[in-house]
Amino acid sequence: MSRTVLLPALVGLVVLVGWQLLSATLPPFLMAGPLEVLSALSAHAGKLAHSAWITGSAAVAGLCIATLSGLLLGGLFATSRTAERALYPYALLVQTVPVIAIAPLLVVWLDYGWWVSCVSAAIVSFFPMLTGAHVGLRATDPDQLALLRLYGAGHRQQLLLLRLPAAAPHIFAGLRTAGGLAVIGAVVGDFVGSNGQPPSLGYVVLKAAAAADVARSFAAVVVSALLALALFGLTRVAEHATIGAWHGDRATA
Amino acid sequence: MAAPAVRFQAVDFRWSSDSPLLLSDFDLVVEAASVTAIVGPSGCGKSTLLRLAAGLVHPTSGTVNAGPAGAGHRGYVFQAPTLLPWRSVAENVGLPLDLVPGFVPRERTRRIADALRAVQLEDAADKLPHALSGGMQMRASLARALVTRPKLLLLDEPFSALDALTRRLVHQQFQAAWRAAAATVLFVTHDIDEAVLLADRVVSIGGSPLQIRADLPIPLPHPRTPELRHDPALGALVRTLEESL
Repeated sequence: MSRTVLLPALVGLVVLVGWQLLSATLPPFLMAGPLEVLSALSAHAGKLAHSAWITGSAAVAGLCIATLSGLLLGGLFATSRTAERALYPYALLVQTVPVIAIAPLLVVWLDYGWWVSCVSAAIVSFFPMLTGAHVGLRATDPDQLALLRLYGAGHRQQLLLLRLPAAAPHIFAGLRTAGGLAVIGAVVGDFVGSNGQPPSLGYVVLKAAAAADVARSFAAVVVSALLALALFGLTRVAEHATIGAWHGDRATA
Repeated sequence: MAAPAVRFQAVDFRWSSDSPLLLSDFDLVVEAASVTAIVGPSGCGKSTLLRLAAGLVHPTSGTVNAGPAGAGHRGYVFQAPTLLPWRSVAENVGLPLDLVPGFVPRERTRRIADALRAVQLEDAADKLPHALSGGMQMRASLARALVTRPKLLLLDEPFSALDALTRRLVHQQFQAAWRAAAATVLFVTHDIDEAVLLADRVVSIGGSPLQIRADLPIPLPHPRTPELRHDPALGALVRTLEESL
């Protein structure tokens, strides 16, 4: 087995053993060890899977909204300096305002439930998508653009034949970051905007912690992390399938 | 005498209103079906002349007439291959046909095959550009310029990124391809040996604003082989041009 696999596995094992030993010295309402978390995962698998579906669907829907709006606004910025100058400060503002501060307002506007998590996920994942699309669409090689203009390509043909494919690596880089952030945004939305109907992951984390069921709270955190990993993995698969042949490791091999 | 393929007439050019004049009252005539090389020091404005001829930039005043614009009448080879990395070599070569209306799929396929054959890249048709050597990428770039069967071929230092051995090989392949295409070729280079070896006429330019320093016909027979480099006649022409710069 290569060192790239063995070393992280060894570190992980040491951390897990250390965590287990530490948890044995603390009361169960303060800390649960990996074995207790595993046991909670197994005992509440059905309910956690349902919660993962609620939070995961909000994260994915929020990511889709962020992707679409990020691409549209990034495209507008890349084609119009005036629009970029007028709107970019406000796009930056969306990035700088903490989502936890906006979430209570979302509850006011949208009522408790799934939509708060969805919009919260969209807000936090919007900026990486905008940046990816904006930078990518601006990074078109000027000579390639001149070539298309030489053959009379219009704006639409330039976009479809050159600018969009050339921007794809930047857009996927944005999507990788945005995927992880979308789960964070959805869980924050759950914390503030979920009343347990339906029981989202964030709600389970809070509810279990309040009931001193640390193992179950940890189990919900683990599921949230797995959700973010799954989104990251899906993005990588999509990236590999669409641009992997000409961009990245295979293309430079 | 054949009608001119490119005519610069009293051309003034500056990049922006506050930048200095790059060209002032500049005249140049390029005869049809000839190979003309423009030599000059780096950054003097050689590529700007090509971009003016291609219609990619427009003169501040005066006229540049290079035949009909668009519809594939002009082929252009950039200093870098500028292939689209997500398209196969064949699809890159066929790119101009996607933009020029009126090509049925069968004709498109035939044109691509002809262009690839002209630069001896038939076997690389399905490969992606990153799988090709630098020389092969430049040949694919030439095939793309040839695919619309242009009357005017504009080449912007197409050999400058190649190593010496590859450059000699690609010189031969380019000569064969553009002779077969019977196009007017206007190419810029900073390599005087290369200009004399490949062209029917070499125009040496320099100064600010740009001026023609020497305009020399190259009365050497075609095809020009690498061995011709050792010909005393070629050496004398090179020296004349070097003195003009």
